[in-house]
Amino acid sequence: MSALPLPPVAAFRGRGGRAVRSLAEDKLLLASGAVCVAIVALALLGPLLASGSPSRTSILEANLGSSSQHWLGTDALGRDIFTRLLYGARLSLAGPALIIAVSTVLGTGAAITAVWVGGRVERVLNRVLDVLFAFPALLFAILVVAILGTGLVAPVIALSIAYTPYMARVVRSVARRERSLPYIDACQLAGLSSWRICSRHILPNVFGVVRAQASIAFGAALIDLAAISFLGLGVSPPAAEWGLMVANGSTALLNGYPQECLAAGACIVVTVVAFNLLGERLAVRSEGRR
Amino acid sequence: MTPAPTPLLELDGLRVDLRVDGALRRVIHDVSLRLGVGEAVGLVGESGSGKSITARTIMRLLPRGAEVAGDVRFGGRSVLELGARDLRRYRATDVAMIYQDPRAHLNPVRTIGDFLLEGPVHAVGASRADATEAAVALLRSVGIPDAPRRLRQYPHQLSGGLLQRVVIAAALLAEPQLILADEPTTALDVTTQEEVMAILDDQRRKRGVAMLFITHDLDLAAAVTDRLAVMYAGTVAEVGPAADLHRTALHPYTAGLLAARPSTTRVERLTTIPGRPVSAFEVGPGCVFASRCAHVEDRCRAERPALRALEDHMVACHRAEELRGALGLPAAAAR
Repeated sequence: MSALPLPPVAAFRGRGGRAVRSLAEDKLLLASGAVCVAIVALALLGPLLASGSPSRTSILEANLGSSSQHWLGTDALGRDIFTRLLYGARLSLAGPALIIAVSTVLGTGAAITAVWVGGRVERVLNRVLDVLFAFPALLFAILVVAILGTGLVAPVIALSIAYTPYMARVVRSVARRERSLPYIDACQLAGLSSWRICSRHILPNVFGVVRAQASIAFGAALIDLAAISFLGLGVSPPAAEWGLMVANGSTALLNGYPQECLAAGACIVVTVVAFNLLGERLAVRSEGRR
Repeated sequence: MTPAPTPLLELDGLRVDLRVDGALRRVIHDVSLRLGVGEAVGLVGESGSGKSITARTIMRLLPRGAEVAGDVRFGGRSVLELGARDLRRYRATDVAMIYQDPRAHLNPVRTIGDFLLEGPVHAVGASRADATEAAVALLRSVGIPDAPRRLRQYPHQLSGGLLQRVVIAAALLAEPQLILADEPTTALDVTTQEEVMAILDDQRRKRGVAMLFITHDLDLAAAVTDRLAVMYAGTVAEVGPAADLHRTALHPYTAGLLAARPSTTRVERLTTIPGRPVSAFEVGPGCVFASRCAHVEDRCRAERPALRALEDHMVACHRAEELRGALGLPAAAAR
C-alpha cells in the first residue's frame, strides 16, 4: 500500500508543482518582475553609480540637452537630471513602500480578524470600510497635510489609511472563502488557537492575493505621492523626488526645455506600469491556483 | 453490550436549530444517546437525517447562530458549557474526528508532518521530537512504513486512501477517549475502503477508544460497532445491539432500511420506502416517520413517540409492541 505508485503528472497538479512550471512560461511576469527588481536596485545603489552631487547647481550649465557629460541634460538650475533621478528614486519609492507596508498589514489584519470573529465585528468593519471608501485618497491626503504640514510623513500617513480599505476588501473576500473550507474546521477540532489558525493557515492561503494587490497598490501609491509632490504638498525642494522634478521641470517645459519633465515622468510611468503588470500577473496566478 | 455506569458520552434530549437566512430551522428534534468507555456505536441514517450535525454538536462546531437545547456531557461534564480554553483542550485531547473527505480537511499548502504535529505540539504542548517519534510510530501502525518521507510530503502527493490513514493517525495521536468517524470510507474507492476500515477498527479496539461511527451503510456499521442508532429526520428512531438489529428491527423505518439494502446474490427490483426523505424542519407534531410509514394510525400523526426501552432495544414508535414480529420479516428471512 505504501508503495502505491503515484500517477506521474496528475498527482502533481497541486499548488507547488504548477507554480514552478508556469513561472518559466509566464514571460510577462518575469519581465515586469525583472524591471521592478532593477528599479529597486537602482534606487538602492543609485548614489554609487552617480558621478556628481544631485544638488550641485551651475547657472552656466542650465537647461542643457543630453551630452556625454550630462546623459539626460540639466535642469533650470544646471543640476544633472540623471543624477537627480537616481537619488530621487529612493525618496520616490520609499514613500509608496511605506504606504503599502502599513496598509497591507492593517488591511490584511483587519480583514482576517473580521472574517474570523464574524458577526458584529465584521459588520462594524464593513461600515468603517464603506466610510473610508467614500473619501478620495488624494483629498484625504491634502486634508492631513493641512493638519500636519508638508513633508513625506503626512501624505504617507494619509495614504496608508486611505489604501487600507482596498487591501481589506480584497483579502476579506478570499479569507471568507478560505474560512469556510473544511480544513479550517479540522484545525479547530485539533484544538488550535484562533491566532494560530489565522496566522498559520488562513494567512498563507490569502498571501497570493495580498502580494498581487500590494504590487498594484504600489503603483497607485507612487502616482498619488508624485501628485502630492507635484502640488507642492509633499517633500520640499531642493530634495530630489520624481513628482517634485516633474513640477520643477514644468516651467522649463514651457520655455522649450522638456528634458526634466520627460525624464522624471518616464521614470514614474515605467515604474507604475511594471508594478501594475507584476501585480496583474500575480493576481492571475493566485486565481488560477484555486 | 450494556453501557458503563458512567457513560463516556451522553447526549441528552439534544435539539439543534440552525439559522438559515435569519430564520431558525430545526435540524435535530430530540437525540438522546449514550456511549460507554471503549464502546462503538453506529449512527445510521440517510442524508439529511442529522447524523453529521449530531457529530458537530458533540464537537461544538456548529455554524454561527445555531441554537442548541439539551445537553452533551463528556465524562459527566457539559461540553456546551466549556470555556474557550477548556473547549480547545477537549477538542485537542478528549475527542478526535475522522472525516469523509480527508483531502478537504488538510491545508493544501502545509506538509503531512505539519498537519500531524501541529495539534500535539501547539494545542497539547508536546515537544516536537516526541511528537514526531509518536507520529512515525503511528503511521507505521496504520500501514505507512516510509513515514519520515511522508511527513515531508504535501497532501496532493498522497492518494485518498493514504490520506485517510494519515487522518486516522492524527486522530489517534492525541490519545483521545472517543473518535467521531463521519463516513470515513465513503469518499474512498471500494478496495481501499475495506483496508482503511479494518485499520480504524483494529487500532480503535487495541487502544480501547470509543467510537461514534456515522454512516449510511447499515451492514458496515453492524460489522464494526456494538450498538446501532438509526436516525431519521433529526430524531433517533431506534437503538439496538448491532449484532441483531438486522433480524429484530422494532421500528418500521429500520425495517424499511433493512429491506432496501441491495443484494449481491439475488437479481430483483430494490425494495424502497415509499415517499421521499423528509427534513427535520418539515415534520409535523406527530411521529417524524408518519408520512411514509405503512403502519401509520391517527395517534402517530398527532403525538410524537418518545424513545423507550423494549426488550434490549430503544425504540420511538407507538405501535412497536403490536408490530413486533410483523416488520421486515420477509426481507430478513430471504436473506
